[in-house]
Amino acid sequence: MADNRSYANMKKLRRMRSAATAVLVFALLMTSGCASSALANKPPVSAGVDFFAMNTYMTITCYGPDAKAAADAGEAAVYELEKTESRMISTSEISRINANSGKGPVTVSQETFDIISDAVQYAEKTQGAFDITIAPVMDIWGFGDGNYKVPTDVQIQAALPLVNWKEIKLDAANLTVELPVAGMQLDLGGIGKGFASDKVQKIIKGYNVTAALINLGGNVAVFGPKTDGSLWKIGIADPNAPDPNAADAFLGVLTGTDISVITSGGYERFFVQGGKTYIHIMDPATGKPAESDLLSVSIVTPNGMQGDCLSTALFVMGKDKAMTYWRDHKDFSCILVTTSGEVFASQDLKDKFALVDTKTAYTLQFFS
Amino acid sequence: MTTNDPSPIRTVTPRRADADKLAYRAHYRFCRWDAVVVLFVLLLAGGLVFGLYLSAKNSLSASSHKEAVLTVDGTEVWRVSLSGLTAAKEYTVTGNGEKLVVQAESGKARVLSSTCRDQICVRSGWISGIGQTAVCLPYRVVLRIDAVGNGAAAPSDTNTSYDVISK
Repeated sequence: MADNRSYANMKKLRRMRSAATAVLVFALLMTSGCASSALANKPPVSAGVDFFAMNTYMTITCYGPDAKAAADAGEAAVYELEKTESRMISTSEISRINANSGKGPVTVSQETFDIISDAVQYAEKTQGAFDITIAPVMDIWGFGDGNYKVPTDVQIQAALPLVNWKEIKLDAANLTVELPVAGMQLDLGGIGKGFASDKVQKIIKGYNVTAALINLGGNVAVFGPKTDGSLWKIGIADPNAPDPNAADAFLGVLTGTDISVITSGGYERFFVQGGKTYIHIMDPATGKPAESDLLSVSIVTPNGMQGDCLSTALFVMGKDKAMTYWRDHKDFSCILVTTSGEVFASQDLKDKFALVDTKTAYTLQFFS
Repeated sequence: MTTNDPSPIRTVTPRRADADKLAYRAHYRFCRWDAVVVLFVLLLAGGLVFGLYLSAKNSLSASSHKEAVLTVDGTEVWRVSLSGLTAAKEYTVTGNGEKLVVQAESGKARVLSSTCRDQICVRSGWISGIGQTAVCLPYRVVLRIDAVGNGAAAPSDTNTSYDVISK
């Protein structure tokens, strides 16, 4: 009886021990599972390139097994684009169009044709606030070659008739572009980097890239999650900082991914003459630097080219027209900084954008 | 044997009879599967410790050391560790009548002066965060803060409040 009972107990015991072992092994498996997944979470291979192109400094940082090849391909694409689209390179397609202004149509590549026709569409949408025929005006102010000077009224009046996007003749069937008035010039400066950024994204996504940060001279695009799984934090330049170009001069931070953030402001390029500041953003209507009540405009959009065009256009429009433009379209988000220190962000950025705590000189309002 | 104890486990006590002990040993001797389990557990534990060691090593190398790197038109011309610098170090880039002076101190670096026309590199001031840059466009000079061991500065390793600035 006693033996039987202890034998039965032992059987029970053995079952219990098996169960305990199973639990222990299970627990250990779970722990090591966590540990190995923590290991797997370590940053994927990253690679970056930095280079000078399109008259600015660019960086492309990619994450993924083929990160290096991806970043290199992105850099190569920017150089290719610059070769065909820069009016500062005499052999480019844009230079050929410009050299033939008033002479006749010029056959171009599909890509160049597409960029120009998109630019014309944005000119139409913004009623000329964005205009790729602004080049003759840029040049008389010296923003073309960096020899800044204030032109005479006579010079401005002579250049203004050459600024008119409506004159651009596009022939989609024959892929030709024509500037019918001699002296008309195209400059893709306000759209080229946005287009380049979109193109770089497309190219690097073909290289198994899980995430990337593309910074074409302050023209930012990000996609994918960061290495720690979080969203990207994009600083918005502080146009009132002692030096807005300082390494960490930003007034607020936008959180997100799969977006382009493009900012235009007078602080980017300007010169001072006779105590007056002349900024590089020209108003196509006056032929003079835009007299905007805005210090900067940031556009947040998945479409980098749209962001590039609209950041310039909304700056030229000024606060009220810019807000109206957003209300009428709403296919992008924007952050407007006024000369009096107000920051107006479109309603759809409410949970994504905030001012930096220390930037108490600014007030943030969301508009709808 | 205690009979009024409801817990079978408690019945296995040193006070058991010798017969019980013998029966216990007979049924619970160390068998093949026990060896497998022990081996398995040891392997898992070893793997776990090794994994933790690796990740600790990684995070250490990412945060412990900063370097200032100077490139001219993409070519590295100067590199200096910013950890434990007791005196400022300087480097001068010259050529074609141009002159750009870079200065490094403990934990930070800057473009001290430049003969370039736009002075953006100088006005960028001190930089200290990993991945931060001071750039001179006219001279194609880039001063950058790198983490040692990381070829490309990974933005998410910067530990700053931002990854990039739109301007």
